[in-house]
Amino acid sequence: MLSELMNFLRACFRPGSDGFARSGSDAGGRQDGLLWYKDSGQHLNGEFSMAVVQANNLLEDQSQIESGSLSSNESGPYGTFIGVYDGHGGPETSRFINDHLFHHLKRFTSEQQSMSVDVIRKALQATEEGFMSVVARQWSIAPQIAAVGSCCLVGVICNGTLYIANLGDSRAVLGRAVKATGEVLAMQLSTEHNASIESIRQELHSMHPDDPNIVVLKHNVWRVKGLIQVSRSIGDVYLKKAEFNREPLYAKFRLRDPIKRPILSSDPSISVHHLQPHDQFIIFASDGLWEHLSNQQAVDIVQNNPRSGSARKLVKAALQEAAKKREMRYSDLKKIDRGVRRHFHDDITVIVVYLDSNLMSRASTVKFPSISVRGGGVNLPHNTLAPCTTPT
Amino acid sequence: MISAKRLIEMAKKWQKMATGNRKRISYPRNQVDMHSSSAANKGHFVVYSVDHKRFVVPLKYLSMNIFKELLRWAEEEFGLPSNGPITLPCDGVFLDYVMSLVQERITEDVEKALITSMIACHHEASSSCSDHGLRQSKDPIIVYGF
Repeated sequence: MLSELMNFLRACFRPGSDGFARSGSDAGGRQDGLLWYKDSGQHLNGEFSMAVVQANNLLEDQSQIESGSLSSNESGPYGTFIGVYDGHGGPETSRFINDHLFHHLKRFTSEQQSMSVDVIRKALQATEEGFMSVVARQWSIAPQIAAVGSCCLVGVICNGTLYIANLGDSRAVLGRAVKATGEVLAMQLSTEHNASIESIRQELHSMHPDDPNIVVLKHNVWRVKGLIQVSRSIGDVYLKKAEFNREPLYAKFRLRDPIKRPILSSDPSISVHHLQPHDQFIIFASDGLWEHLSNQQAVDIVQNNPRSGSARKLVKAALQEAAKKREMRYSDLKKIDRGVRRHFHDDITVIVVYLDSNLMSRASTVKFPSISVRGGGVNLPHNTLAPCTTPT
Repeated sequence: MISAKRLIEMAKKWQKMATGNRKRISYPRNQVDMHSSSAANKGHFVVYSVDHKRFVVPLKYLSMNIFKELLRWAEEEFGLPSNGPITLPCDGVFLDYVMSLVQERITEDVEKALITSMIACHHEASSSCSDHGLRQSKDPIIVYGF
């Protein structure tokens, strides 16, 4: 009985999962309680606004915007790279992507001397392989890293072309002006991989015809193998390779039958869009935002507010909605400290990238002082009530 | 103040009742504030028991281990709630009991004992503790009580 209790308690507390040091250059961002924001910045093709609110004890959402040369040498091509990485099971994978994906992308761009779908695919593949080798190295001392993974949403703007690559359930939404009416309509650019979507469940069944339990409904939520909501990710190697789905991994992550083929895919959905003069802005955000706001609600908020601080406005709107669902006041929700906060809302990351049509025509060879901003977070000891939250 | 020993006895008794299926009481639905959409008073948050009883709880209780444990337990049982309020995997009688202990300024020992008994219940009776509350049936809700 006592040993059972200890096992249960142990299972409740995840092991120290802070294996990687943050190496972010948080240029210019500000921290207010659990909210981090950079209200305004300039990228090669216009302005941007960025905000992150932390709910987990360790921020699992990571994000970056890089503008300037997209290759390892300074000869270009030039453009803007946006990444939103929503981690699960811990922050290791999303941090790893934040530290490595853009470098891989620059390397492949240099090799091929241009930006392309192939460059992005290779960069994601190299990142996945890199993380898998980290897991292989740490397996004997920290096997739980095999159960850490991350969604990965990437946008690349280069030469008037927008590339969107996605694994998981983060989302990129374009605000496009309709000339005749002056309205700005929401257009979803990313394909999502969440088992709540019927076509994703069908895809899972067709890829695993011999497994009727590949996706199961548990407490009204569809989960792949009853474990995870997304069907594609970086990491989660315990659902990709049999050698990482065995002891000493926690029993709750171990499958009854050995993995014959990867259960989760690391193959991104990539789409290419030719930007048009009436394309106003793109909202990149983790599912923490989209579970509270529809695409059009988010586009309306961005359209009806000043550019500076628009990302923070979106986060606030989502938190107000979260407070309403939890039947409490927004002002009280903001007092709840990270850790306990995850029961009230998820980590939320938002990057709004404005597309200035004058700057879009800027040649991709034009030199631009490169910028690099990463979404922040708190990793200090904490109380249950946040020490300093000033109303916004 | 209730002593730890007395509390363990009470918890054991409750657990026995809950697991043993011996005594059932029905909980009239009209007592229950069904998912009222109104926000809690300032400085409070809301949780529901599996039998849909609404509890308005002071925010400061979130720093207590007993509430952290209940929330962790809820996540294990139901996952994180996405579109509605927080539901804890225990019935209204038990939550009433927890609230009354907390209001009497629970000591650390008592809190520990309560968590221990909760976990024991989670292990031995998690199905009977949680399943019926989620069932969307027209039958009167049955909860297990003292």
